[in-house]
Amino acid sequence: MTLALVSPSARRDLEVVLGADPAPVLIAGGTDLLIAPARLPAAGIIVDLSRLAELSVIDEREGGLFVGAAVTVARLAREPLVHRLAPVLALAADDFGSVQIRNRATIGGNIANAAAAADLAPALVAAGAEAVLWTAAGGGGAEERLAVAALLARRPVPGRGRAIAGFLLPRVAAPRAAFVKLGRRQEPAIARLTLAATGPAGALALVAGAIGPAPQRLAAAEAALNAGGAGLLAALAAAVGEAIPGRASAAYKARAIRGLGADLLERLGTEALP
Amino acid sequence: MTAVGQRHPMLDGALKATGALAYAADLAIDGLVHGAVLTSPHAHARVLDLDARAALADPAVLGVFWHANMPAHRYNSAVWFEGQVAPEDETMFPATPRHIGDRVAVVVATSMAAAEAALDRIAVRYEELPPCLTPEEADRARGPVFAEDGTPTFLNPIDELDFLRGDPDAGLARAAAVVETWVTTPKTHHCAVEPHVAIALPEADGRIRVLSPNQSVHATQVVVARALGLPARDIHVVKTPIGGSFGGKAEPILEPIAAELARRLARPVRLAYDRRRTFTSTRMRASARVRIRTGFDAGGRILARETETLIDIGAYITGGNWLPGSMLQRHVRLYAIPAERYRGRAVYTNTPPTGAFRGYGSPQINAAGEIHLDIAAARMGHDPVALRLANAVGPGAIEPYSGLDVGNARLRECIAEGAAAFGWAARRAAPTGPGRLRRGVGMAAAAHINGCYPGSDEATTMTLALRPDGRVRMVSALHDLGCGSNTTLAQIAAEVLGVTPASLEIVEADTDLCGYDLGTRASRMTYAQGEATRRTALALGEAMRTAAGLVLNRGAGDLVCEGGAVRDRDGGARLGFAELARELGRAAIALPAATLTHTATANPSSHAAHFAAVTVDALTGRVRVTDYLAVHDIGRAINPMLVEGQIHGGVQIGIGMALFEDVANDPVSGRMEGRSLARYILANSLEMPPVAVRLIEAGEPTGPFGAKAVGEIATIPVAAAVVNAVNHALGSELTHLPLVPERVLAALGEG
Repeated sequence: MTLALVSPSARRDLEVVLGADPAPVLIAGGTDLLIAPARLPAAGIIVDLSRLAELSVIDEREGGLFVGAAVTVARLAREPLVHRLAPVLALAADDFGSVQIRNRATIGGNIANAAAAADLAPALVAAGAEAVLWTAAGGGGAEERLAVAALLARRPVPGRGRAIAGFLLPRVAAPRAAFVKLGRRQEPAIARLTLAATGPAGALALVAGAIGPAPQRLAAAEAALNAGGAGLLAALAAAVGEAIPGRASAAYKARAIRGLGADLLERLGTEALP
Repeated sequence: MTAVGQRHPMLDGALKATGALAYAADLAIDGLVHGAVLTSPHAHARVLDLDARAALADPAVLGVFWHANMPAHRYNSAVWFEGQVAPEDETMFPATPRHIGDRVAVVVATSMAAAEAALDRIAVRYEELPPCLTPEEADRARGPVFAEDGTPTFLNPIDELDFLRGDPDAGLARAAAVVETWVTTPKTHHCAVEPHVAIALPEADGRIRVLSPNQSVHATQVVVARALGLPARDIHVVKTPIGGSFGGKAEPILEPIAAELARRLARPVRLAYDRRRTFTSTRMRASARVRIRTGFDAGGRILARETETLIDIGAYITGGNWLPGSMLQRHVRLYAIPAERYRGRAVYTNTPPTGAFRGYGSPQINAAGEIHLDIAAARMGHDPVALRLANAVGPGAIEPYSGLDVGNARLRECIAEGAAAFGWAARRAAPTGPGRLRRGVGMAAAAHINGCYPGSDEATTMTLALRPDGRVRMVSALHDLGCGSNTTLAQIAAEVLGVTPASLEIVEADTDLCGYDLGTRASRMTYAQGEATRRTALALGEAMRTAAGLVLNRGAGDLVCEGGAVRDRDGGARLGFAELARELGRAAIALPAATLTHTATANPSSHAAHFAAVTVDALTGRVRVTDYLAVHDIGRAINPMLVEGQIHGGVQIGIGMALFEDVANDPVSGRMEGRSLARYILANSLEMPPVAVRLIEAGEPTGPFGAKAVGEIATIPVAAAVVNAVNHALGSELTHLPLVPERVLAALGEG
């Protein structure tokens, strides 16, 4: 029984180790794995992603924004390019964890950890982001691409023999964006509810987090939002009621999401309407 | 005054800030082996069998110990001194674990990792038993707490206390208004940064040395001795630096097991709990359900009060049998009430045991009483400040339970000066707002004790001795819990001896070196040990002046200790302390020393009035404390900076109790929801309001330089002040703590 740590600095080296059996555990910021030692294996391979330069890239790519999987949340929150091209992601990053967690945690880790309360997940889904996955050697250096919403439906995330390389966010002209979060205290707090909205005026996507295992696009509430906000709060409350019927927290969340909805409208510069 | 009243930094502050101070877990000890504790997954179960063969297959594993091969001497972890009679219901490893997290076995291995890994290879067969998880259910399981042969029955109540003064029925009958409330308080956890740890080493003379962060080496010695069935002299206890306690390390938990393993294996053994076990397997604050019924005259004077408390003390008694009395003692020293009826009951449940936690029952009974009083004020149309001023105790009042004088009690000044400084009248009259963010202000008053007098053994022995290098060594049962009490004592000694606090060489508690003392608890340190310090320093000063007189050919009466020297009163000859030591050595005269035992003769009240402003989000139910003022009747602040630090920390703990903190044992499974710092929500720095502190320094004649305690009272009125502010903001009568958003929204009704 041995436990090995490898720190590949080239994509090819990572792809070799991705095929190991049992599956290696990938670690970047460590903010989830290191505080839950039971989730670290006693034997096998731990792969440290911090030396793969390509995973720390933020650039314009394919007409949109590319964010490498090992980009820290703190960097997302302050990078001008992210603010310009994907403001909802920058806003979610700013509300994420606490200062210390933001400095260590990475965007790829937040998605791979697949927590229902993951702060960046609803923002990425609302922005229509695609994940770029690298696959184990033998795939001929193939990349797999799929929508973040579809990626989060997988178990495990991102799937056997794969690593998240980054995310591609489509460019939107003059995007509007807001991200709001409700926790038990300001920070750090595990989100009890999040709302992410982004898109061109009149065609925003509205996604809720922490009301199910994966972010949910709220069609009726989204329509109300795009129609000027009337009926949004009631639609949000109804959506929560449908998402988590019978849960002990359902009654509270159905009321509290009205507060989040009002915050969302305020951030978008729209008056709260009943 | 050159030292007392100064904002002197903590003497060990730099060592802590730089990480140079070695805590127990940092000590490098040759041949150290490690124990890991296996705890019960069941709230109530019988251990039928334990198979350790797979664990023992690892050569790194030195042994697996459980109830079948460990001593089963019953003990009470909350005893303080040898010979103390206490209900003994705890053993190191019970055959019938009584809560999730109760101790089932310990693995000892040559490394911590090997010990932890071996836990998974121990197969335990349990017979699950029905648990009792709520105090109401427990209160129905009545009977004698111990069988005739001394075996605990775990029936209830473990203690019941009735108190009657005057004629409450008559008072209630003629009252203009009678108000009744039911307040419940949560089980809250200390959350000290340093988890529990204990190290035990065999000594050459056959004794066992125990190193641990604890609040009393003598209490630790007695508890370990009883658990091991040894005389106390066989246990040598040394206090290590503490990374926070708040009462959580007042009771030995790992120390007895570490000591027995060191004895058995003849090796140094370390036991350390991780954060989860610190939550599930140590101690916490008992929860209380408190019904209060008060009759008022038309002017708001209290005519009579009835109080009934039901206290959930968890799986073992520890000090829980003291709680009905300690709550009563603090309840009746706040207001002058002519007729009082009190019944306090403490009951066992199959939840983790409770014990000391900053205030020992006071925060619970204060929250109940002060939330009650504000609800009464609102119902009667009285101002909360005026209602309190109409009923507040004053200097020289007699506390009716113990019959003791409360001393120079300045409660009224706390309330009145606080109300003026806070701008109470205008802020209370301001609209709370009809919209989403509601604003409110609230306040609460508090009374607390100074030490354990008239309880037994409220005595401290101290030695102060001049060293050859001119420094002054202080030896006593000193237990600085991290709040800077050693610095406070050094300031007191320094003031008397005319030196700087840094000239004191402080030897912390070690049962081989210091006389008996209760330890740092019960708000006794500054008041009792501080006075012992002052008196011992006076005696040393006398001895130094006499010795210096021999060198300088002067009478002691002509000399004073000042500026680090003994010198002529009229400013002539002068001998620095180091020079004096050198001269005495040359003349073959023993260096001056003084040893003195001080026994407290009073138990005055410390008082406080706290004022809070909050905003409540009527849509999400979230509460924020936006402004805070704490006014304290402190007698005299030896170190105002450390006093403020105590108050800031007390406010933080109290805001947690009001709004966030609850270990939340599931009433069906007994599983603790708040067993990690991710799930157990503390009020962190972002939730803290600006905290203004105002000190009333009117002097307490029996305290050192007039000082009295602040450590515990700093947290006592906080929860009520915050809850009262929320009730003001919402026009609500919330009484179940903590005020989590769900409860706040429920109070707002269907919205």
